Amino acid sequence: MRFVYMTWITTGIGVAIVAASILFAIWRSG
Amino acid sequence: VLTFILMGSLRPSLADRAIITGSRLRNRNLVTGAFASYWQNPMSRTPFVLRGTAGIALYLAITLAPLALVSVGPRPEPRTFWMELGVALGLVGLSMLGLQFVLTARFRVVSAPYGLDIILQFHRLISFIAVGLVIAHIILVVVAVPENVVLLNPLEAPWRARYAQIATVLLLVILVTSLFRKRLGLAYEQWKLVHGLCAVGVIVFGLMHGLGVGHYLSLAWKQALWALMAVTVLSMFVYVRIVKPILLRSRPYRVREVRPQKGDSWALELEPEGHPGLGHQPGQFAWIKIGDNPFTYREHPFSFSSSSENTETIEFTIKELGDFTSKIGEIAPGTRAYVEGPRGIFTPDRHPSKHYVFVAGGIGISPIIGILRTLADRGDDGEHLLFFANKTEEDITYREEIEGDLSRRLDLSVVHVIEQPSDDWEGERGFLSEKMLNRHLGDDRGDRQYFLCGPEPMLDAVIDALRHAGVPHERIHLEYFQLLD
Repeated sequence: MRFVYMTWITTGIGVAIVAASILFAIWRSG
Repeated sequence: VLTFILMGSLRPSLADRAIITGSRLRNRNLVTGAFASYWQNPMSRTPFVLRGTAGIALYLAITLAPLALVSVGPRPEPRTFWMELGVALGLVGLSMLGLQFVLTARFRVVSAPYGLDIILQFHRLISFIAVGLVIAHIILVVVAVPENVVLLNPLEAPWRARYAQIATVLLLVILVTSLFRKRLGLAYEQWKLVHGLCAVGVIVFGLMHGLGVGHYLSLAWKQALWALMAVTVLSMFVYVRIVKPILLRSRPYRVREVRPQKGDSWALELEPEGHPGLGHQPGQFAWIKIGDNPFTYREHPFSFSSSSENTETIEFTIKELGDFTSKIGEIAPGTRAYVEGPRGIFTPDRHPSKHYVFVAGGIGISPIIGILRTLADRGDDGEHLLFFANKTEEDITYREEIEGDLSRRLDLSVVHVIEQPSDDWEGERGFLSEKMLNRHLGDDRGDRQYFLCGPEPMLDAVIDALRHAGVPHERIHLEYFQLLD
């Protein structure tokens, strides 16, 4: 069960990182 | 990262001292016990959700730090969105790969709030995201500027791109050898050696690639900062693989006895040679290396099954499961061994209670027998309950001791749950269920602490059953047995 939580947490971290990178790219290219 | 290093290098010495003090003086001085548990886990009073969230926030902050660093200093010429996104993913990907060293450097401050099993699981899962970011970085850099396709050709590419090619190949070697280790016929320690050396290569060549490109890393102080970060994470590798083994060499152990146990298990008894031993709390584990070489990659985490009050010898109960554990019975008495630990948060010393409930599945009895032996040696007078699930009656490891010596010395009720019992078995049959728990747990179930150790599917089912039976989540403590083979 804890491992299932970890899968969600890891996915969340991945999404957050990609989102932050997209914001960064919008800012730098603008 | 520097904070991690500082805390990591300070904490083990404090914790080691505290553990020894804690276990030896526990019965005499309650204040010392409380002080000891405070030092082992200074955040023990912080709600676990908050602790978990703080850890994740810190991870995200360090991972995204390279993007923040870009915003400091003069701004280079803007490029297209896709190029900037590709570069951002590359920077963040490298930062995540660096953090992989922090996760596996076995610092108590990193693993204590979660447990080592969870940290290693995170290390595995997050690596897929890191590899994905690196691959996306390569694709976007080529898609954004089609002329960049020349960077993929090792013969024509400039050195800054060749570094990236080497780092990517090493990363893919890590991925393939980790996913298909058994199919590739790699022994565990060969895989670990390949894994470690390739990981170091990924960081070194990844950094050289970043410095070679220079766009966001053209300022000298930024280059120095990146180099410092790389040196920091690589020094963790050196610490675990070289410094720690050198320190271990002065604290060797010798195999005293290897005894066969029921349930295809072995009790491995070690005695310290020329030093007082390391001291541990009941339920904790240690990394064991067998043989004269403390630098070996052949090491495995095993739970202490001996009483923590016995400082003359330590014992580990090991089931024959994988390529290492199936050879435990062949170890000759007198063989040198090294023990790195103690580790782990699965211990009643951190969760004191008058009465405990233990749930063991198969070889999951290993830390729990250690806890029971310790409680007996401490003259504990609480009422304890043990649910012990096994496939057949013949598989019940330590049955004679549990039902004999330990039941005499402790107020211990034992409920055996047998999956495939013989016809004349009178105890519980099948899998441990909510109905069985309700049959044996008293009205004080909400006041006890619960220690569960066994395979993951069993523990998941038991946690659900305990929650339905009215046991609060924070009173359930777990140790999964699926780390390594």
